[in-house]
Formats: sequence, structure tokens, C-alpha cells
Amino acid sequence: MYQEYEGRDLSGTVLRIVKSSIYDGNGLRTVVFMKGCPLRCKWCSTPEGINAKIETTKDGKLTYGNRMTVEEVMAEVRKDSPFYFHSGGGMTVSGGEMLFQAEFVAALVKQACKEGINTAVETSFYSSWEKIEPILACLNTAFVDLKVMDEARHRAFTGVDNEIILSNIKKAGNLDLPNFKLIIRRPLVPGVNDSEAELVALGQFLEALPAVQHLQLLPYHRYGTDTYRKLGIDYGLDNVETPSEQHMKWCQRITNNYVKTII
Amino acid sequence: MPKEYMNRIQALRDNYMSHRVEMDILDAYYVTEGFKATEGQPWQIQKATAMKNVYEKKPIFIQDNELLVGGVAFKPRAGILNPDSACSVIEKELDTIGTRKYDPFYLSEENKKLFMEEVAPYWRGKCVLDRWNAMMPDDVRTMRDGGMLYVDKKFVRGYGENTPGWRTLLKKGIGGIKKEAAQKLAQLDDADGEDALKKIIFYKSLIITAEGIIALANRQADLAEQLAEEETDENRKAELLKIAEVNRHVPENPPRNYYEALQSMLTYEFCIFMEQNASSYNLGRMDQYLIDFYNKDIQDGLMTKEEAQELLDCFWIKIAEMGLFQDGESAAFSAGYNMTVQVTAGGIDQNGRDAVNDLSYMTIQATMDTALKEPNMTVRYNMAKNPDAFLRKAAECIRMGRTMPAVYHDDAGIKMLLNKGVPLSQAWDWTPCGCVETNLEGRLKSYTDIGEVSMGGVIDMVMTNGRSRKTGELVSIQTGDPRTFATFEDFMTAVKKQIDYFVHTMATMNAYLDYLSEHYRPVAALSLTYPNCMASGKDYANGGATFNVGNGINIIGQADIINSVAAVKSLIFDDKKLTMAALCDALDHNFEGYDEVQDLCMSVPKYGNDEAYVDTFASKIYTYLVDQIEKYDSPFGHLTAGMLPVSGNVPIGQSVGALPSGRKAWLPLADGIGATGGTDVKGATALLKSVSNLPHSRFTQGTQMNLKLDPKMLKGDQGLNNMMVMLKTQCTLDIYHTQYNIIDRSVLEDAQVHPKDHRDLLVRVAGYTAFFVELGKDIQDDIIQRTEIAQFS
Ligand code: SF4
Repeated sequence: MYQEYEGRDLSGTVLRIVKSSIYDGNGLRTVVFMKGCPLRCKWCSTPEGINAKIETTKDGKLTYGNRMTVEEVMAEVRKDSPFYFHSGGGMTVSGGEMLFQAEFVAALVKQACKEGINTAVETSFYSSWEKIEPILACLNTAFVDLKVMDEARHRAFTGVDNEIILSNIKKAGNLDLPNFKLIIRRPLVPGVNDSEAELVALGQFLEALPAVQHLQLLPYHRYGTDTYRKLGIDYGLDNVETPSEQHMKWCQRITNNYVKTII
Repeated sequence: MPKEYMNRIQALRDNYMSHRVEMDILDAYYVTEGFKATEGQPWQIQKATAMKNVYEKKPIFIQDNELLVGGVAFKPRAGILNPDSACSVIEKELDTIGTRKYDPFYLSEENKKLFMEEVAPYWRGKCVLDRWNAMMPDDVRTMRDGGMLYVDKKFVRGYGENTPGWRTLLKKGIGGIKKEAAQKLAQLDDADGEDALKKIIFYKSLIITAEGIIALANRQADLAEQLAEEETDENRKAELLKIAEVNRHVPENPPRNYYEALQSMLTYEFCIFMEQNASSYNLGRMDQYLIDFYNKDIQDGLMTKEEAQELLDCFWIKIAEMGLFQDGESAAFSAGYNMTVQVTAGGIDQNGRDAVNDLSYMTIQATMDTALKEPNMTVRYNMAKNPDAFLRKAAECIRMGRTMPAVYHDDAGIKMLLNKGVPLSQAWDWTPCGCVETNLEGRLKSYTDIGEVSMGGVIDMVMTNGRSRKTGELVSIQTGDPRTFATFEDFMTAVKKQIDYFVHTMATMNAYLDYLSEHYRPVAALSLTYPNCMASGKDYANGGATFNVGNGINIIGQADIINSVAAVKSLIFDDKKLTMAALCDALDHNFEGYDEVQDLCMSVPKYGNDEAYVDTFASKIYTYLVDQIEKYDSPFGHLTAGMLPVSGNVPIGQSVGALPSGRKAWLPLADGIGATGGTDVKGATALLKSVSNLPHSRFTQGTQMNLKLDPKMLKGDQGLNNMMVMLKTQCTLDIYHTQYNIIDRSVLEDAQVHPKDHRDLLVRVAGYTAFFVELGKDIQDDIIQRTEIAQFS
């Protein structure tokens, strides 16, 4: 037994744990993907993360999800600590929507933090502030997806309102915590959330938030389509292409007027 | 902007690529002539005279654009034969040598005739290999023929696997050393008995050999002068006259500058290679040996940095021109004509301080510039002392797809030397050797790799109760019908007994190797630069070096035994998903018709994924193994072990039946200390974590770790940082060595189909680099099939 701590034996449903990722924050990271998401983004690239329950592909070959305790996850996360040390990496909790299992994640983040492991989360912030706050208290970086500013479009493409999301980002964006960084991500889906008006609104909203480090624009891609087929779900966005580099740069120029933007 | 000196380097490189690999018989012819002329003399004198005869008569050449000159054969990229070691090899392979599967050599009809008439008759029954075949004990022969051990290679080719005394060479020159030998000789009186006589014979052999080496250098000078006379281009004429001046002076005298130091090392390297036709006469820490010459020339304005780089590049190409001839079977074990002549940069100096200097960067640059398979460029990375900029330079070279440098965790190398009995003050000066072995410049003797033990074979013998699956014959000891094992401990007892017997048989072979080497393998040319050989009056072969280390046994198939033991523990004893009888049946049928059993075998956690259940066996089995090996003594100290499979995992796998790990019969065993291809699914970090479970520093002949990365992973500055993180973490995890293949799988596949388009595609085979298209098809397949880590996640 490694050590006793609060929340050690809480269990959650983990989609998978991926090691040595270079795409989810600083350095080499271990990414813990949690199951369950209240949103239904039409472009979602991890549809197997949406359902909170453990599920199996139609052909029965693959099972998505695994019940694990906080300590079981920590045991996996700890394994790569020499790599975190040299790369400035650590643990990233992702989803699905990790806030769907907020209590579990809070215990996990807190313990990782105690063990000196750098922590990050990837989230949509679609949850009550009460659930978010304890996680932020000991977190290094939050990557928050802000999918659409326009309220109606947000509902149309993600299935939910963005009011609560905006309000949470505002609160987090005004936090003054020593080691905390807030990074906003925008998956750019052509024809959905890449108009000039939409980008200006986004920039203006973020401009006012001191804790926001920068905005990151991510190009839409179709990586998840194969999993849709395996799970027998329809893919919501058919004729959308990955945005060109040129278009990405055009978007960057617009938001850069308000908030530091990277692609 | 390509630098100007690169024009010359490119031309030399093109020239190199245009040469086909050929066999030289003349060296063997002159050796034989020398032996015939001294019939009745002590063997040491005969061999020395023979070598002198070679140095005085062998064909020499100077090629266009060359600044540094010499060669071991009549042309670049030709192999030579040491008839005193293994004359019968060519006789046996006379008609197949040009067409054999691994490392073919072209041999003209005329040379075949010369060989059969003038060389072969003299050596029949007399060369070391023939003596070994006559003496080989039955137990060794049975294990060898059953494919469990590979034991012949050191009878085919001699000493190598050392780092000659470069400092002594550069300080004294061959002439100075010869003078010392003459002084020693003058003090001896043969009336003092046999011991004095032995010394007299030894010193005489040194003098004869030294005369030969000096004569060869003067012949090169003569040729350069003659060519200068005929040369119409004034620039080239001046270069040729410079070559003449340099070769007139070195290696006879201590070099006066950087240029001469390089030529001196080169000529000596060729001479010692000719003496044994062996692999890995290592160049060691060139950045340390040459730095004073370099600094002085730069300071005095005698040379620019670019000129220094140009000379270093020329030196690299000359080293690549050496080609190792070995018999067909040995070639299968280390295919690619590899010489594994290692150069290392970095590390710490003899005061324990950061040793990185200009030449550390420039040696890496030479590998970037020349893009050839040799020399085997490596770095001693001392994380505590070496600057990040140095590691970055190494990472840049690796990223270019040069496959080099391999990176050593310096502290692990130092520990290995300590474990070989070398005090710390000298261990700090260690040099990597050959593939991944450890050595010490001018002070240490051992064969680092006398042969291979098949760990897949160990499990095979446990499961078959000692019978070869190929022939049904009894080839090992009987450790009981596995169906009768009641507990996991019973199973492990059988595994250990088989390991004991495998090691015992290797130790038996080693006794014969030491005996034959002491009697029939004097190496005067090499001994010249070992100060303690001079002081003690003893040849290197007889233990003249300061430190003598017992020979190294090489272990192949790490993942195979680890995974098999874990599978048996899990399936038969812990979870009881399978009975031993059912497993035995499945293995007997090579899993054919037993898919479910194979699936179960595959479902047990595999080495390479950072899973403690299986990784503990990496520690336990290998600690047990090295304990057993170290129990055997020799005149040069207890035996040692390494894990440097070269390409031997492919041929040795061909004798091993289906294993509990889920591996099917006759497939290659796992590569190096890595996972079985396709079974490490958690990325590079998990793989390295698993590998860190092996007791690296106890395997003092090195542990070799191959990683294949997709070039996409190393894009941009961040990519370079990722590479550096991997290398630093390697050190933190106390993993001795890693090396990287940075090549798209699709490129390798294309090279199999269109070899002509990929003639200079380099790949890392094991501890060395080879041209992909010169490898046998099965080794190519093995490289392609190793798990490629396409991204860090
Ligand atoms: S929030 Fe993320 S996980 Fe949830 S549906 Fe949207 S893209 Fe998928």
C-alpha cells in the first residue's frame, strides 16, 4: 500500500490511460480519459467517451471503460514520473467530460499535486462552479473548450446552453491562484464557429479575463469517425473538411487583436 | 549553404558507394609466405614475420581526393582472411561466398586459384578453426548443432573488441616503442631460463612487427611522391606531397600536428586489423586524444576549424572502407559487413570533470557529414557534467536519420568497468567497444563476445525436457517432463537447471578458446601500444595488458524468456486458466489448431509495458543468470556477460520451437533488451521503464536497447527536446544504452522492393549501423516488424 489519503478508494469509470502524450499540455504527459459527457458535440472525436457506462463495440471485440479507484489510477500515473521530471510533464485528466465524475477527479488531482506531479485538465466547464472550484484549487493548468459564443448555435451543435460555461470561464478567468493557468481552446469547425463575428465575440469575451493565458485554435479533424462506425452511431457532421492552414492563420489574426492566440 | 569542404567529402563518399564488396586473398597469401619462410621458429616469430611480409608487400593505393590514405586490402570495401585463424572457411565456402544470403563477397576465379594452390594446403588442420573442430568436446558440439548456442565465431576471427593504446601511439610513435623493445631485449639473457626466453621471443616479435608497420607507411609516402610527380593539377600535387610528408613521419614518430595524428591512428588501425581480421578495434575517445593537437594547430593558425572537420570526415570515410569478412554463419549473426569500430565523444575526464570539447561536437558532425555506416559513433552522456548543447547535437544527428550516435548513460558504463575490477580513477576513462561493450584504452584485454546463449532455447529445453524440436534429438540435459511440475517453483527449478547447463557448456567452450588463443593467436602489432605488455614482456594474448577480464558471454532473447515465465506463472499456476498438459500440447503443435491457447498466452502482460507482474522476471532471471556466469573462472578472471544480440536473434530463433509467450516456432527471438515486436503497446516511456528492470551494470559487456521512432515525433525544436527528455530519462532510469532508428516504415518497405533507389539507407541493426539493402531479407523483415513508436502517445 503506497499511502493513505482522502479519496484513495473512490472509484470512477475511466475510458483509458494514455502515456507519453505530447499533445495535452507541457512535456510528456499521462492522460487519464474519464467516461461520460453531458454535451453532444456533432464533431466529437471521442464518442466512446460520451456514455457514462461501460460499453462494447457492436462486434463485441472492444470494451470501452474500466472501473478504477483513485489509487489505481495514481499507480499508473506515478510510473512515468522520471519522464515528467525531465520534460516538465505530468498528468492530464480529460474525457469525455471529466466534470461528470468531479469528486473522483478532485481526489485524483489533489493527490497528484501532493506527490509533486504537474496537473492539467481538459474540460468544457459544463458543470456547477461548486464542482469545479475544488479541482482548480490544486491544479496547474485548465484547458477549457469554448466551442461557440453564439448561444443558439452552441445549443444546435453541442446540445446544451453555453450560459453556465461562460459564467464558469468568467469566474476561473478572474481567479488569482499562484500556479494556475487557464488556456481556452477553440476547435475550429468550418461553417460552424469560424465566422468573423463569432471570432470577434470570442476575443472580446476573453480579453477581459486576467487569468487567461492564451487562446489556442485547433483545426477540426475527423479522427473519430471510425469509432462511430464501431459503436454504430451516426456521425453528425458530414461534409466538413479540415480547415486549411491559411484559414487557421486568418482566424488567428482576428482573435489576436484581443487575446494572445496560438495555433 | 553547404560548406566548401563538403565537395571533397561528397566525392569521396560517391567513390565509396561505387565499390562492390570483394574478397582479398593477397593478404592471406603473404601471411602464408611469411609462415613458410620461418618454419620451425616460435609461432610468435612466425606470425610477426608473416605480418611484416604483408605490410611490406600488400598492394597499396591512393585514391582521388584523399587526404588520409591506406587500406587493409587491395581496394576499399574488400574483406581479408587471416588464414592462421580460419583458412578452411573460404575453402568450405569457395563457391558460395559470392552468392550467400548474408554479406556476400565477390571472389575472382584467379584469386580462387591462388587461394587453393598457395594458401589452403598449408593451413589444413593447422588454422585455429580446424584445431577447434578437432578438439571440440561432444557436449558443446551437441548444443551447437541443436542451435541452442552459437560458439564458433571467435575461432573464425581473432582479437578485436578492444581499444588500442592510442595515447601511447601518439606519444611515442611506433619507432619509439620499437626502441623500448630493443632496450628491453638488450637487458635479457636467455641463459636465465624459459621465462627470459619467452620475453625475448615477445620483444623480437614486437620489433619485427614495428619494422613492418614503418615500412608500410614509407611505401605509402613513396607512392604519394610518385603520384605527385605524375600529377598535373598543382593543388592535387601539393596535397600528394603533403601526404608523402605525413606518411614519412607517422606512425614511426610522434605526430607534429593534428593531420599527422589522424594519419598515425589510421595506419595503425589498418595494421592491427590486418593482424587479426577482427571486428571492433575501437577508436575510443578521439575527442580526448586529439584535442591538444587540434588546439595547438588552431592557435598557431596552421589550420582552420573547417580544415579540421574536413580531415575528420576523411578519416571517417577511411574507417568505413574496412569491411569485415566472416564465415556465412557468423555473418548471419552480425550481418551488414559491420566492423563496429566505435568512436565516442563526451563523458568525463580522468579528473572527473566535463570532457566535452570542440572535437566532441566535430566527431558527431563527421557522422552527419559522411552518412556512412562506420565508424560507430556514440556518446558517453554524463548527465551531471555534460552540457545540454552537447546532448542536443547528438539528438540532431539522430534526428537526421543517421541512426547514430547511440547514447550511453555514462555512470552505468563506469559501474561496468568497476565491476570488471578497474579502479574508479581509470574507470572514468572507459570507452564503449564494438556494439555496446565496455573497454579501456590500451589497458584492458578480453573477448567481449565469445558466443551466444539462446534464452528462447532455455525455455524450449524446459518444455521439451531437453529435446530439439527440429530433430527430436536430445541436445540438452533433462529437467523433467513439465507436465509433472506441481508448482511454479518446480518450473523455475527446471529453468534454472537449464540455464546452468547452457552456461556450463559456454564455459567449456571458453576454456578451449583461451587455450587456442594463447598458443596460436599472438598479436604483436596490437601489443605494441599496451604499455603493460612492454613492461611485463608478455603479449596481449597471454595476459600482458594491465587489466585482464574474463571473456563475455552474449545473451539473446531476453523478452522471450521473461514473457514465457510470466505466461506459465499466470496461466498454469496463479489463475489456472490452462493445464500444463494443454500448454505442452499446443506448443508441440506450434499452436496450430490451438488458437485459444495462443490467445491466452498472448493475453498475459508482456515485458515492455511497465507491468510489474512480468517485469520482475527481468530482474530475477537475469540476476540469476549473471550470478551463474560469474561463477566460472579463467586465466583472465571470471567470465562476464552482455546482451548485445547483434542480428543473432534472427538465426538463433530458427532453432527454437513455439514458446509459452505465444511466439510461434522458428521466428526471430526478441531484439536486444527490448520487447517482442508488437507486444509493447504503451509507448516509449513504458518500454524504457520495463527495460530499466534488467540489472544493467552487472552485464559488464553491455546491454543494447533499440528504439524505432517515427520521424514525425521529432519535428521542430520541441521534437528535439522530446528526444533529449528521452535520453535524460534513460540515465535517470539507469539504462545503459539506447539507440534510435528514425525511419518511416514505408521507406523501409519501399527499399525492399526498390533496393537500387535506397543504396545509402542506413538502419540500426543492433549495436551497429548497416546499409539496409545489404542485409538479408529476414533481417530486413525483423527490423520492419519491430514496434514503431509512431508518437509519444
Ligand atoms: S464535450 Fe468533448 S467529449 Fe463531450 S461531446 Fe463534446 S467533444 Fe465529445
